[in-house]
Amino acid sequence: MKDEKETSEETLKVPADMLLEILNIIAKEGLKHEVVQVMMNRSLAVISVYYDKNITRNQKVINNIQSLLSDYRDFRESENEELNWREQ
Amino acid sequence: MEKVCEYCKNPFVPKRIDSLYCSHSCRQLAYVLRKASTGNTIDGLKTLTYKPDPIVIQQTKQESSIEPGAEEKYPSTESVKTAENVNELTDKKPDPSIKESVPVNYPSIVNNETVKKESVLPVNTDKKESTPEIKQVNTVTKPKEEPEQYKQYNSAFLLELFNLTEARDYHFTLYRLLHNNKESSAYWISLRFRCLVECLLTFSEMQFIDLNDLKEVCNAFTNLIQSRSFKYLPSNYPYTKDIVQLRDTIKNLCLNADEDEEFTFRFKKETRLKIIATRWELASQVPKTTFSQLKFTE
Repeated sequence: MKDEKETSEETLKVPADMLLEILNIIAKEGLKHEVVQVMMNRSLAVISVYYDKNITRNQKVINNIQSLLSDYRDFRESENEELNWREQ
Repeated sequence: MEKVCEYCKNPFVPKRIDSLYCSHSCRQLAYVLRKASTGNTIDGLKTLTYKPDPIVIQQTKQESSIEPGAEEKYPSTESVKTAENVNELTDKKPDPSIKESVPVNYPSIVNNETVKKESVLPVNTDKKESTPEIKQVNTVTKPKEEPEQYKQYNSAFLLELFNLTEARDYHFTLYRLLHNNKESSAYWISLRFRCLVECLLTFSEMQFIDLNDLKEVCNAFTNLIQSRSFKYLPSNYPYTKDIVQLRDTIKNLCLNADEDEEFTFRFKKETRLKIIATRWELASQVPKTTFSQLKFTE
């Protein structure tokens, strides 16, 4: 059976605190990626990661990264993000 | 749209599309559980032992049938079940050696197919048939190589944050001081301190800030320190010194800043870790309130 490559795209919002560590993981695992946007006023980088869905390891890496980002968000935000501290 | 909380499994209406937990406490408990479930620490990095997916295990079991001659040595799972059933009928105790001899990851040697092929008479055709490969009975094949273990990456920043909150262990103190105690001075201060901490974190993530905003926050800190509630804070309130220190730092910054230039506000890594930890600890006891909603004078 012919194995077809199923490329998936995962968009990650990476905070500056975690940027180097996340990029380190992506680079070590050799995943194709692209910095889509840099949100200067929120210290965030939006990174698109492209990976083969059929490779279990890739899926694990993505889950790993998402778990780290979720843990960070838990520490940093907990609730709804608010851009403007004066609003509401 | 309703979602199911990943920790307590109760349905909830998420505020955000990517919300996984119904409440802050569920989030925290899930986090603690996740941290506790990770494996041993090696060089400051926690590793997870690779566990094959349940589907893979099922497939391996189905494939793992054994040559007839080898059955005594390596009985299949099915044969064990049959043996147990027979023992149930005859009221005999099951032979423990049968179970013990079941290999966990027995390599797949095609058993049933070999038997079928041998029992069916060959039909001669014009086409050249490839003779079925007869596998040697009682051959001990090498077990399949286990898939390469996936070493879970961990973040040094998160680890430091986690260790800091663990070491300070303010949760219990805060719970005792603030839980169901909204009239206390500790609650009054905590609510405002959380708001100021949120403001400072937001400032530190912005490219440039208005110096007047920082001055406003600095004044709020000063008002907080001068308040009656601050004077009557219990001695075990964990943030008394931090509030004063933060105010002093911001005050110095404001006094030394050039009003004409764009101002960038950043924390040193250690301070940032402390501030994020403080925000996280306070978030479990006091709600997030915006600066404009609060009065900092009594």
